[in-house]
Amino acid sequence: MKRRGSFLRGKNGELSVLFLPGFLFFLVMSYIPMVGIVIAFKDYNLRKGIFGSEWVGFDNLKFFFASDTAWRVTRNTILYSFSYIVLTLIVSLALAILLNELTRRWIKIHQTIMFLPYFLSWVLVSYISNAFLDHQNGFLNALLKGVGMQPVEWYFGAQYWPIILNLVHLWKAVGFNVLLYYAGIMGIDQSYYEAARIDGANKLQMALKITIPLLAPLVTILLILSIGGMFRGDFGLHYFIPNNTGLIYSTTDIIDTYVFRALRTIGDISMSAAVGFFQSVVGLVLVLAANMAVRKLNEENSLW
Amino acid sequence: MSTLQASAGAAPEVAVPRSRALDSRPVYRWLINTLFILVSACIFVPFLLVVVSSFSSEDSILSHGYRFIPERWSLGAYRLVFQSPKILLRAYGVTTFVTVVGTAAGLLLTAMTGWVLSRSDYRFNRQATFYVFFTMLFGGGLVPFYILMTQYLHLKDSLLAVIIPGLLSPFHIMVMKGFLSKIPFEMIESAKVDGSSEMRIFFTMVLPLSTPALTTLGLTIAFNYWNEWFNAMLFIDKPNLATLQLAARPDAQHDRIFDRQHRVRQAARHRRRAAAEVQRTDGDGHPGRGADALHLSVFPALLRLRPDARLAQRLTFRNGNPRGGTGPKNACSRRRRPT
Repeated sequence: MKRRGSFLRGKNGELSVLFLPGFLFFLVMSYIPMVGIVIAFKDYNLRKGIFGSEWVGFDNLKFFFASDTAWRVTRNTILYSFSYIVLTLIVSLALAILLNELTRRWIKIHQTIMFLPYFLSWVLVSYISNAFLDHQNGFLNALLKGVGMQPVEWYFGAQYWPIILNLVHLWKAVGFNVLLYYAGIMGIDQSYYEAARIDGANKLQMALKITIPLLAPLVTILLILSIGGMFRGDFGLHYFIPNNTGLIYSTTDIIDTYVFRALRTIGDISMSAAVGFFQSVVGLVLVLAANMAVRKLNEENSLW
Repeated sequence: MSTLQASAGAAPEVAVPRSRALDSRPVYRWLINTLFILVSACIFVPFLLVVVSSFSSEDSILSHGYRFIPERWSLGAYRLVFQSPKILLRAYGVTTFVTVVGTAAGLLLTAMTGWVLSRSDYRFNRQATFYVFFTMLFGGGLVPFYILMTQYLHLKDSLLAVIIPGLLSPFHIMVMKGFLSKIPFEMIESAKVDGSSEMRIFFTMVLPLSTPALTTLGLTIAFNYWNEWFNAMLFIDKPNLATLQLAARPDAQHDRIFDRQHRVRQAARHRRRAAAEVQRTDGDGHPGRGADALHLSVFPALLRLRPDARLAQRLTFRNGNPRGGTGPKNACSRRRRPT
């Protein structure tokens, strides 16, 4: 059947043609930048170009790790990602299960409202958070003054930000995640619940024994993906919401904002590239580890 | 229990037993309802605060802060926006263009790629799948990407720099692939028996069949383009190419990583402007409102948030910390940590 020489006319050839745009896209947008990682091991000089610049080995990485910032941004990135993942998972899953108990009309209403923040970009969310946190005119400080307490200078106090950032993240992410899990719950065969009901199970038992186990594959896939992304922080959240204020970098600065700042204000291209490389490598290791762990626990739920 | 079960078996619709089914009592229903009303309220209230403050007068915010019921209502903020609608309209135009073009092209590419990956009879299926999904796991990072886009592809100040990176995402392809792999293979086979080419199968059968998936993904992609600010922030400097999100940025100051001179100039200009604004604020109690692009956002409401604290902060920190210290000394010395 297959005529050699006219590859482009055959099935595989035609499918290859269909795949070509995607191939080129990832080649240019993902694979060529991977080659650019060599910048991390060079003293990048704009005039000499990437390949003309001198090799410096691991100097860039060494320089980064010698600073206090390395520990700070790494710790912040991981801790924030971790708490975002855990908080969002627990709250969204609980809300999705409870949502199932409501009537259709109410489900629609609540879902729509919870979804609203998802439509805003971080740029706009930063205005909203500022309306609450502004030192002089913010709503929270007005509230504090109203009950006779001292106003708080939120943008100057590093200790408030872990809570603020977690709340803001949850506020924005919860609607989407509830939708995701609710869709998963909708996909569960109703006959399981009917059987359980006939056996006299109550709603709590049904949630724990049917809904959660059947959602486990979905949850694990999302979890693996988000663990892989643990080392890639949310730039918008950590850049716009704290208003990029220097005083609170100790609790708001993550690798992404650091790289951006290093690139933008110092123009230290090689070191930024080195930090980016470090981020990618650790990210890869994390995904592989997460997937391996899941496969150990339950073969079926792992991604590959 | 056994009697209950027996009766359930006899008439399952009517008498499904709910032994100890505390949860079906109205009390629990109400509890859950109340909980959701609280949750929804918590999520909605921040919007309300900003919307209300957009309708309140400047003075009442400056003297009493943001409130849900302002001292005085006013349409001043909206008047300000509509006084010079040109920049706003332009930003809307740019964003609409980017969204329409990007979504159309992105959907087509996602469908094509997803279709090929869903074909398990494609000879290079495994390799292609790996090729696409590996990009999810590993990447070059921001810096090589930036250099590629600006130095090699010369996409600085081109809307292509905003459109191209959002065209395809492994995640979208994964969703598309999942949907398309449910198309029965017999259909494809019979079309091929009738002599149609793969191209024709894709464009006349697969695309029309996948309308539901295309709609969902189209919404997601369109939404991403509408809210896109990162690439715009990196690559767009020309004010007349500013997208909506870029125009709305609280620090609508664009980034020129390689052009240091420009940065120094900009920093100086920025300081001058900020100082002038402070003076104006002190003068008549009204915050200065230059023709700064930041006044233009989706919610004109957000105009409110500009003055005082934010400005003061900017003055304090811009000069002291690396970000404000875009001055020549900082910019030229290599090996300086941004802390």
